[in-house]
Amino acid sequence: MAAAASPAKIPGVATTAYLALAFLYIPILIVIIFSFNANSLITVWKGFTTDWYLKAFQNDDLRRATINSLVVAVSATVLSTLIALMAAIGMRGKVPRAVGQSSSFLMTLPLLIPEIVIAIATMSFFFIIGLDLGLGNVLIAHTVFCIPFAYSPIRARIETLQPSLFEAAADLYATPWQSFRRVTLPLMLPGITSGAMLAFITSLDDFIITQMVAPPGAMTLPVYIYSMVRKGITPEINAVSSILLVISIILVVSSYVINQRKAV
Amino acid sequence: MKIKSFVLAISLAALLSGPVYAANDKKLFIYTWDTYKNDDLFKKFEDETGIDVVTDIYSSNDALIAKLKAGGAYDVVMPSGPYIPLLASETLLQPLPADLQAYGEKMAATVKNPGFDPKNEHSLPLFWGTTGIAVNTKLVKEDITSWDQFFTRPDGEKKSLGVLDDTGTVMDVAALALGKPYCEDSADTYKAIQALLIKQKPFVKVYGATGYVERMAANDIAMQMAWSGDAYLARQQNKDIKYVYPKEGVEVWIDNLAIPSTSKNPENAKKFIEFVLKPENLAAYAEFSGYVPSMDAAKDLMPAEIKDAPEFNVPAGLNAPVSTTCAPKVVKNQQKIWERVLK
Amino acid sequence: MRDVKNPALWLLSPFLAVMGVFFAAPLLLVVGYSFMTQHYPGGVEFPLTLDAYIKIFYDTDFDGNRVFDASFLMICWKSLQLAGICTILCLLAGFPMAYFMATRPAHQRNLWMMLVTIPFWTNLLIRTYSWMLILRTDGLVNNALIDAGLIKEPLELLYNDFAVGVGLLYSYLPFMVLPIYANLERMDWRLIEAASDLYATRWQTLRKVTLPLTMPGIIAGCILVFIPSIGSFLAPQLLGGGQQMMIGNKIENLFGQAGDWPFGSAASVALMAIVMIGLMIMSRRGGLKELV
Repeated sequence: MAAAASPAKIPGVATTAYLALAFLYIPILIVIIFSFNANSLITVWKGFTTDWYLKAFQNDDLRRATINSLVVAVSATVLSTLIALMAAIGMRGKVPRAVGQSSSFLMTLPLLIPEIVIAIATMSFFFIIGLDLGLGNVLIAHTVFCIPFAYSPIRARIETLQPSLFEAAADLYATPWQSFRRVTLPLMLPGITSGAMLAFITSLDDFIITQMVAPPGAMTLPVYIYSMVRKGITPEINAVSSILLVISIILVVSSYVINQRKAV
Repeated sequence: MKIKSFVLAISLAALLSGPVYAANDKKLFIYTWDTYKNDDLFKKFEDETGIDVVTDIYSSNDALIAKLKAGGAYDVVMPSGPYIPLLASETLLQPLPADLQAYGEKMAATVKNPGFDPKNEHSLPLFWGTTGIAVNTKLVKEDITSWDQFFTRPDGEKKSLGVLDDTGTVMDVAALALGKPYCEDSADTYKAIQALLIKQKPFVKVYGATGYVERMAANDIAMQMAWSGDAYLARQQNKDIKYVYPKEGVEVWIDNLAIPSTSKNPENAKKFIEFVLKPENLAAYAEFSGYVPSMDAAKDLMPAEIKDAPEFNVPAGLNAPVSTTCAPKVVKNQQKIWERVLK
Repeated sequence: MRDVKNPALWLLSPFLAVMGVFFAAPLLLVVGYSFMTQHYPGGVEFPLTLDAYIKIFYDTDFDGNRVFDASFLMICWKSLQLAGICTILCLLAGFPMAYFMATRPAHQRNLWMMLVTIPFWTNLLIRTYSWMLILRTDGLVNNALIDAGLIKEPLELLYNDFAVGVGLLYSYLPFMVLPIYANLERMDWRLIEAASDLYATRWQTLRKVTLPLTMPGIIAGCILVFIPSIGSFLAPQLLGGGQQMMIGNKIENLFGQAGDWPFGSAASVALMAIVMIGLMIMSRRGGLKELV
């Protein structure tokens, strides 16, 4: 639908976009480059080596933390995006006013509250009800605070869908499920993907809440890194981050490729 | 939709098959500082005893307290001295068995019968260190001998100082610089400390401990209030760094081994403590962390260039009081001072 | 329409269940804590009291007198200012970026979305550290500028407000870009052509057509950036040199070193209240009902 036609082209936009992209990538490149630094303190460059990748693999706790992070992030993203999607569609339907307003309120609440408060609250709550599911505790906490982030782009997107589309589908004898799958879902896809991305990022980066809520052995990568208070970042950490980055890229590229093939 | 179910299935499978850390005879959960996470040493313990070691790290004693209060079932923790009475009064620590307490006799003079746990009922000293000034001799031309030079800089000088953000440490150091005792509950002392810190602020580049070893080594900071072990680590990276013991005195602090009351494997914890306190293991551990081992037997085993390093040896006769727990009222006032400094 | 059980409610129920149990309940706990008495070094105990709320405004000075103390409110205000600046920066950089992405040919758009989000799959702490490498005195920027002969003395780019701005912009940019993009992508671009057919200049089109249509996305982005950034403390601490205490630090401090959970809880309730009042004011002026 969108054409790169002259009326739509605003001068300076392309330049800003490319500059912003460079701004985004330079630190990443640094992370990757310095993971090959033959010096245990990250700053001064002392020579090229792949030792750190080896050390990272051999560091059981680091490896465990990384896997935990990935598992939690993927699961929390899936769960929270699903829940957010259902909620977004539900809000569009006929809902009693009270339910609608409390839902809106509940949806913005996690954003309003400082993370440390959510952390202490969730930790105390889990303790009181005796919830001890290991990594599951972390997953639940993450899903909860990822929902608003997944919801926002989905909602912004759903606003733009015209009811007439659904009427048209119904006129053509589509059941609600079919009209959802064939009409709503494809149109919502950019919103859903944006929402999933935001949820993924949010979960992957969280450390305050995870630090408080994680039972022994359920540490995630950000908590591990953040706790390296005195030493600071070692090239080992850079190595792990680079690996994580590559894994994330593979995950997303494959889902992208699968999506393209479906070519709705 | 298919992709979603696919991913969902995978993640659920991963979760369900994932590590489940139930209470297990052969496990040990350690909760400690990043600089004390000695993988080689822990591996040696695993090989000798067949017990699997899982290490989580914390960034502050407060995080430790919060975690233990929330029921975190760790087996070995390594709190700093002033926190031991706090943890004990909250019944977060197990009393140590008698044979472990006996190790108290073998401790070096500096850490023997510490004020915060004289009979080693709940803790055994592991490392001790001092808080002094790490000076970057390339950036600082004058000879630094006093805290005064750290807290009072000439007008117009550019920001170049580094100060830690651990309130307890900063307050102790300020007290030393002013010639007062630690934790003094007096309005005049509070005001004096507050004035000292606020006067220093325009010259401070960074308040914080995160990554400060690296900052020192990268020549970002001219003078840094530093813990001795970290100064040692920085000096390994940057030969221009010198650890100075100011003439007013240095704060001595002690990090200890303790067993939380929530521990599910106290027997394994005991084995670990006994392992670590063997002189040759403690020596290796001290070399790794850069701090002074609590037992002289271990210190003797360390290589000369470390054993005789300035960070490991407090000048004789220097005022070096061990840090201790302040009363809650004092802590409150200290927090107030800190907040006013960081306005 | 069939009048069976309302499908909309079914769709909402997982959300309400999850949030109700695992979010609302813990929060009520915190609100409860704010009315209890401090137990140092952590936790709360009875009796119930309003002490914590009083502490927001009053404090006892060293001589034991109770005085009005605006320091907490000042910290809130500073954090709000910082969040505002962060939001404006993100908007200035984010809108063009989203616009650019939305004007790419259809098959490229997903690629761009990935390009924009990939950097954020690296941990924030690490990326923030990388900024230290870039901005410090002996860092990439300074070395490059000195080598190129453009400056003699290194610039002070780190441990100040500039670095904090960079750090915040860096952390929150995708939260602005993605909602706007999701909104823009759906816009009917023929309206733009129509506007130009009616002799509107590009800027007029932007102001009168594009921006109003993109409002839901912009508002969503602003909320997703502004509110979380109020509590941010990583950038101020690592990149700003920890010179100023922000509300995020303060509350963490209260639950940590200061061991004052009731005050920490009361401070959080106060913060929530401030933000909610702000949101309500904004929604009076219209444009906010778009978010939820």
